[in-house]
Amino acid sequence: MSAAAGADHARQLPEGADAASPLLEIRGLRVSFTLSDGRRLTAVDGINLSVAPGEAVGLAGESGSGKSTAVGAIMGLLAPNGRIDAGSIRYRGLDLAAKGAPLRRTRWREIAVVFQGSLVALNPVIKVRDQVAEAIELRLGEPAEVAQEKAKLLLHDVGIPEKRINAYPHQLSGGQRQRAMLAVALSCSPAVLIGDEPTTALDVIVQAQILELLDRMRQEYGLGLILITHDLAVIADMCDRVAIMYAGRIVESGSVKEIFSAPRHPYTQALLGAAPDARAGRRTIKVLEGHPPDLSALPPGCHFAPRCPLADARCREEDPPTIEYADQVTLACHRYSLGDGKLPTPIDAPYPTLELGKR
Amino acid sequence: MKARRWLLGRFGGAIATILMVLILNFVLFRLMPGSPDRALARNPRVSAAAMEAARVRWGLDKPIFPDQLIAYVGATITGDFGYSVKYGGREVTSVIGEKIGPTLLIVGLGELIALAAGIALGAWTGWRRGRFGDRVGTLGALILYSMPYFWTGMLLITLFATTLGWLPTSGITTPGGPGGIQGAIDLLRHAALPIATIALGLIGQYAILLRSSVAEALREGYVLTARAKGLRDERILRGHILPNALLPTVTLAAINAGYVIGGALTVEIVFSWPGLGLLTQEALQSRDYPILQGVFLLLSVSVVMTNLLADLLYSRLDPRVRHGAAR
Repeated sequence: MSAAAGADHARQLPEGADAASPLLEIRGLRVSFTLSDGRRLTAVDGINLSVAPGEAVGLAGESGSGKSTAVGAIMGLLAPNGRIDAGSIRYRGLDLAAKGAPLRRTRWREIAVVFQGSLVALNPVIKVRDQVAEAIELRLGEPAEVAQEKAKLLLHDVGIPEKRINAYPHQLSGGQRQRAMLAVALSCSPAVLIGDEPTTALDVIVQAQILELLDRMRQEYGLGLILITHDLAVIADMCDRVAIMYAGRIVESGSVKEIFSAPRHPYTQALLGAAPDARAGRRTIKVLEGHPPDLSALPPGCHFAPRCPLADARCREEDPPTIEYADQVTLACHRYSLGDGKLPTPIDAPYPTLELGKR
Repeated sequence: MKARRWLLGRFGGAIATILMVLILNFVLFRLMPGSPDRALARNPRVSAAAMEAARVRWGLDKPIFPDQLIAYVGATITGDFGYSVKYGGREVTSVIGEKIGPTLLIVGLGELIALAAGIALGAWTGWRRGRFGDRVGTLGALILYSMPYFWTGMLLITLFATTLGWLPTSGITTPGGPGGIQGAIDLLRHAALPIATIALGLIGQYAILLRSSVAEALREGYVLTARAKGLRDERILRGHILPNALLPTVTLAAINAGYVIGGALTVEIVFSWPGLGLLTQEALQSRDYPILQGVFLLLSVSVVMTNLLADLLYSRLDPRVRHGAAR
């Protein structure tokens, strides 16, 4: 049904990649930036993350937790003062973090990004159709007419009305722009799609439409989807698995079902408890005091310890190890012990609460 | 629809501006001290009757407002710019027509060269902002930008004409020189230094403006998208950054095209280049009102027209302006 750009073409993997290896697998990735005063700031500190074809993985955390830096590292588009210190980013076995990785070959053709804020992510003086066609023409080597035709089909596919096909970005509504951005991202039919806060600036109705579209595209193209957001409700609706990030580290990860029903890490509990739940009729919210730490001056021990109601002396001295309790279920918290290899029982962190709607 | 109304507004504005300029042009010269008949009166042998006859002939006996104003505006609109006092009573249009060619030659070529070189330098330094090449290039552009035309001109004369002797120091042709192709080469040899002076003065302006727009554009989200798309640097610069970053430069170039005609005055004086600038200087010294009025009107109209051109160009290049969208 979807006639979009070469969805049917047999995927030619870049040299050094093999179809039998996992789609995308990040291991021990550490990224740091050199500050103007010469200090180094570790924005991503040894994260593991993977995604399989057709799977949706959420990466959640507050702003500044390192989510977008992780995207930069995957695409090889870190700011000039940033660098990958350790770890690997394997796409079908090919390490994109290694020096001399064929990033120009893998970008967009294998891994594409829907950036946040399509008003800035799209070029204001180029028609959206040409922005979709550009990568088809230059990256897939299609003739201009073919690229234009495919761009038209793709824009149609993501729900841009016929008369808006030749529009400039400013002539589209916010939702339409984000749809167009999705068409740009899908133009080379990538295997992995990263949504970097793809619905942040949109109102809830449009947000739901875009998420639905993302979900449909994931199924239609068999995309491995990494959804980066601070909105846990979006992850609950969209994703199979979730990783919770705090100050550059993944503190807890697992299936959405597991994490949302029985959050173990105190930070996860705070995140989930910080929003009122209209559907559940919950009017009490948990209050997480303090601010995310200054990444350039991190104290020893667990990064979350200063804000954690459960923290003790060990938390403030030793880094908590990340323990894999089951396949793809991890937790980094001193308060849980490895035990007998089963998932530990959640400990309820005693956050102060706030009652809403009552005075 | 919106675009048509916008266009009509621009044209209407340009015409209104020209009318204002016309009136101002008239008032300005009437406010200046001295008058043509007083210049005539310096000759002690002119009789009172002859002076009165001249005043009547030139219409100076009538009140300035409204008679002289109406006569001026009416004549100017019908293409009658009057007669030059200094150039033996020749028509102003014919004198200006003779001098405009040389000015357009050096200003036009100077602008074109400056635009090409300035865009290249600005794009290059902007792309490499903060690096060594950028520092050197930007310093060079700043130095050029801050040098007045007449000084650049004198430096060039000292170096290429006086010291090295490669090019003539002044004038437009060698007196009694050859014609045909040889003559054209002779003309270009004379024009080379004036053109270089104007070009050097403008390169810095264009380079500095474009550098900052390119450096700014590099931080834009669409550049990150273009990189993520796996495009080559050259494609990102040409296809994504320049279409955005060139907008202010295009406007400046169009506006400059109007102003530079006036700005070439010092260049023409330094090189004794027989164009509008030199004509203006001579007319000022001899109170040749009709010539001055003609030149000033021409300059004003060319500034208004190039501004209009800049607006039209801008709307061609930036769809947001064309569609009247908020930026």
